[in-house]
Amino acid sequence: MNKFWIIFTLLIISLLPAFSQTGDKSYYVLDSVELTGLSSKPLLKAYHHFELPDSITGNLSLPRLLTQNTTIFVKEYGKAMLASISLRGTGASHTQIVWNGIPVNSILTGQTDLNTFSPAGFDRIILKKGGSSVSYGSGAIGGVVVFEDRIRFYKTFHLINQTKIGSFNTGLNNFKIVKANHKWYGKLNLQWQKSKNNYPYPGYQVSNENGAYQGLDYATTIGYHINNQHRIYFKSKLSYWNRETSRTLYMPQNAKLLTGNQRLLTGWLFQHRHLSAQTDLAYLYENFDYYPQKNNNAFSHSQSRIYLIKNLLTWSFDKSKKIMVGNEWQHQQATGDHINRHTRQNYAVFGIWSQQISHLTYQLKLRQDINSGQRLPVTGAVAASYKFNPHHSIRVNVSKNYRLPTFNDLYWTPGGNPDLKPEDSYGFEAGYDLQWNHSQLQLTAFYINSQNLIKWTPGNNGFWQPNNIEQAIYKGLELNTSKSFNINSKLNIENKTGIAYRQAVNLKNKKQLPFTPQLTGQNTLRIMINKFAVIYHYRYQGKIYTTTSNTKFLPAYHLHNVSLTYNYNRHFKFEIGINNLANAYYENVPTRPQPGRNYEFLINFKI
Amino acid sequence: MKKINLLFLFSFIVIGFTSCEKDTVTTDNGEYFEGVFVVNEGQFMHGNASLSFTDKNVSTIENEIFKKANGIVLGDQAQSIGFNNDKAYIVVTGSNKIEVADVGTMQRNVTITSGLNYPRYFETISENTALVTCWGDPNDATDDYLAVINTTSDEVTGNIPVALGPEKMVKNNDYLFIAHQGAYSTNNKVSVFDLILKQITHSITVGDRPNSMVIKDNYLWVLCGGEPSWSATGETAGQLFKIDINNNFTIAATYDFDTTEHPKFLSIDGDKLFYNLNDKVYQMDTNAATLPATEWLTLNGSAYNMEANDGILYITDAIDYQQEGKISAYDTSNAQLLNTKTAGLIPGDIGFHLE
Repeated sequence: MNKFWIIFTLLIISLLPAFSQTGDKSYYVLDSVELTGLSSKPLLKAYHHFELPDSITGNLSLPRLLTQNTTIFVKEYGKAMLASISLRGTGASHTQIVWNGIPVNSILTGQTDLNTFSPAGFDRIILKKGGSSVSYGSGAIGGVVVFEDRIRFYKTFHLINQTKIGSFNTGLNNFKIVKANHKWYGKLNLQWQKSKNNYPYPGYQVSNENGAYQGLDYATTIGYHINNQHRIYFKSKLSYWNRETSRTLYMPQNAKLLTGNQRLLTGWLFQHRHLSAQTDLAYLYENFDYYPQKNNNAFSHSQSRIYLIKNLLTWSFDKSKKIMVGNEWQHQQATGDHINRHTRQNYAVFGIWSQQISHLTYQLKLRQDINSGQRLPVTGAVAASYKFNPHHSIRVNVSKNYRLPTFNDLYWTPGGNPDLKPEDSYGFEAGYDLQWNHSQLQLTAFYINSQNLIKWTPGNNGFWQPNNIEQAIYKGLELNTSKSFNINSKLNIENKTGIAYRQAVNLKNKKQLPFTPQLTGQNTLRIMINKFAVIYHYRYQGKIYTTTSNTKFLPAYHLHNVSLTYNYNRHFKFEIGINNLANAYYENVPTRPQPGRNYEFLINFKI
Repeated sequence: MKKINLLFLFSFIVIGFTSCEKDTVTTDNGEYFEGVFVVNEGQFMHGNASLSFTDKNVSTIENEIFKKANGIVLGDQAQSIGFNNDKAYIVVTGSNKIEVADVGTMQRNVTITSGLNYPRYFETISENTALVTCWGDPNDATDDYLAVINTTSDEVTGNIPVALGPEKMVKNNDYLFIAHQGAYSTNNKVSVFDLILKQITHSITVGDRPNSMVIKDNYLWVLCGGEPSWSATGETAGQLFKIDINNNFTIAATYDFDTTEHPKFLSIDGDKLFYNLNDKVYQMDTNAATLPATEWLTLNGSAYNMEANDGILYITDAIDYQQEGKISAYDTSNAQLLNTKTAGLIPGDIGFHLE
C-alpha cells in the first residue's frame, strides 16, 4: 500500500504541468553550443536528455548530484567511497562518462568511480539515456553522462568561491575563476575537500570508523581565438584522492585507497562556411594504490594510460541537412601488480547523417571499430523525432552498441580470460514530449537486449574467471516533468519530478539482476521568496535484490534533504542544509549505511 | 541416550497438540543438540553469514538458526565451527570474532573479540582449553599465532606464535597438527603441538599449500594443493603425504599428482580416504600404493567443501556465490545421493555434533 501511495503521489505531482498553464521560467537552459563536437546539442531530440542544474554543482559530489536530480541508481559503498552508476538497470560499466567529448571510463574496470570525478566547474552536465556507442564507443549501452567545459570569446570576468562545512568534520572549498575576452578564454576550477566522515551508523553501536577522505580536483580550460576560422584550446582535469575504506556493520577495515587521474586534452577547431573540422589529442592516466593496512607501506598498484586522437569533419548543406564523419584512434596500456603490461589499439570510423524535413527530423549513424585484440561488430543507430506542434512531439531511436572487455577482464592474474568477446547489445526507445508554457513532460519507454555479458564466476581451479555467459533484458518506463509558477516578481515556485520503473532480467533464471532497483522516484521543490530560497529534495528508492536468486534485498527507503539559501547581496550567499531529515537508515550496498541526519553550512562568495 | 524428563515430555505433547510448525524432535538439550551444522560464509562484506542445521542424512534443514535464536546477524565471513562442552564456537573471520552459543538452543553466551586477529579454525584440546588458528595481518608472514581460549571463561588467555598461515587442525590423543596453508601467501609446513607439553615441538615439511588433514591409526595424512597455475613462484603439483606419527613424524609415503592437478578436501570414513580434484571425488584405500586412477563420483556442480563422516559424504556447493548454496549427502558405500537441501549463502565448514 505504501508503495502505491508513493507512486500515486509522484504521478499526481508529475502530471500537474499538463493541466497548468502559468509560469514563464524554464529550468532547462539549452542554448547554442560551441567547440565540443559530438557532445554538442544534437540536431534533433530523439533521445531523452536531462541537463543537470548547474547552479548547485559547485559543492556536491557526483553521486549526490545524480541521485538528487535524477532517478539513476548509484551504488555507493558508504559516503564518499567507491560509487558506480546504473542507468536503466544496466551494469556499472554500461554507462560511459564523457569528458569534453572524450570517454573516460577506466580501461581497467570499465567504470568511473563517481566519487573521484568532481562535477564542479563544468558549464554543462547532461545525462543522455539510451545507447550511444556510435558516438562514444565501448560502454555507452545504458547511456552517457556528458561533462562540458565551454569556451566563449567575449569580455567577461567572474570569480566564485564556495566554502562548505558540515557534520562529521567535513570541509570543502571550491574556487572558480573565469576570464575571457575576444581573443582569450581562461577558466580555473580548484576544489579541495576533507572529511573525517566518522558518522554513526543509525541504529547501530558502530560508526564509520575507517572512512576518512581527502580529495583535490584541479581543472583548467584555455581557449585562443586565432581568427574567425581557427581556434585552439586546451583542457585539463586532474584529481587525487586519498580515502580510507569504510568498515561495514560487521566487518572492520583498516585499508586505504589512493587514486590519481590526469586528463589532458588539446584541440583545434576550424570553421568556414559549411565546413567545420575539429581535431582532439587527449591523454588519460589513472592509478590505483590499495594499501591493505593503511599504516603499512605495502600496497598493490595498477595504472593505465590512453592516448587518443579524434578527428571530426562536419559539412552543413543547409540548415536542414548535415553530415559528420570522423575517426578516432586510441592506444591503451595497462599494468599493475595483478596485470602484466598489456596494450591494445582501437581505431574507429563513423558517420552521422542528420536531416530535417518539415516536422520530422532523423539521424542515421554508423560506426566500425577495429581493435587489435577483438573482432567488433558494426554499430549503428537510427533516430527520429516528429513535432506535431510547439507543444507535442514524439521521438524514437534504435541502436546497436557494444562494450569491450576491460584489461582486468582480459589479463587479471589469476583468472583473466584473453578469449573474451565484446558484449553486444541493442536498444530501442520511444518517447513523448509535452511542452506547455515552459512546463515540460517527458515519457519514455525503453527496451535493451544485451548478449555475451561478461560475468566473473568461480571456476574449479580455485579462482574466479570472466566469461561471456550472461544475457539480460532491460525494459521500463520513465516519466519526467518540470513546472515553474511565477506567482509574482518576488515569489517563484519550481517543481521537478522523475519516476522510473525498470526490469533488469537475467534470461537464465528469469530473476531481477542484483543491484537494480525496479522503482525509483525523485522530486525537487524550489520556492524562491525575495532573497530566500527553500529547496526540498525527496528521493524514493525501491527495494534492491542482493542475491541472484532474489532471496535477499535491501529495503526501500525515503530520503529527504532540505536547504535554505539567503542571498545577502550580490557577493554573498549563505546556505544551510539538512540532509536525511528523517534520520533514516539507508544503504545502497548491504551493511554499508549512509549517514543519518546531518548538517551543512555554505558560504558562497562571488565577484 | 538423552534423558527426557516427564515434565518436558508433557510440555512436548501439549506443544505438539497446539502447534504444527515444527516437526523436529526436540530433546531437553535443545533442538540443535544432535545434528550437522553448516557454516554459511555469506557474501563478502554483505554481513549475511549464517548457520544452518541439518540431520545426519540431510533430510531436513533449518537455516538462519543463529539469527532465529538470538535476533542478531551472525556477521561477515563465518569460517568454521567447533565444539567444547556443549558449546558451539562459531569463528567469524571477517567480523574478527567468535560467537559462543549453547549447542542445543543456539542461544549466544558471549562473543570473543579480544585477542583475535583474523581467526580461522577452532579445536578443543582439553576439557577447558581450545586453540584457534589466527593469521594476524594476512599479508604479514611473522604475526601468525594460535589463540589459546579458556573455554570456562571464554576468553583468550594466551598466544602461541606459529609459522605463516595456520589453517585447519586435527588431533589424536597426544598431538595436535596444524596445517600452514599460507594465508594470502603460501607455506608448506605442518606444525606439531604436543598436547602434554602444551607447546609446538616439531615442524614437518610437506608439499605446497597443505589444505586438509586426517588421522588414521598412527598415520597423519596431509593433502597439499600445490602452487596454482597463477602462482608467482610457478605451478607445482598437488601431493598427498602419509606421515608416521610414532616414528618422529617421518614421511612414510608420498603420492604425487600431475603438475596441473590441485586436489583438496581430504577426509576419511573408516579406512577410505576421500578427496576432490576438479569437481570429481576420488576414493582411496589407506593401504593403497598409488592414487586412484578413476573417480568415485563426478559432481554436477562445484564443491565448496567436502567432508566424510560415519558413512556419509557431505558436499556443499556455493553455486554462483550470489545465491543460497546447497548441501548434499552421499552414501559413502555406494556413492548414492541421499538428499540435497538449500543452505545459506556460500555454505562452507561442516560441524558434526552427533552421538
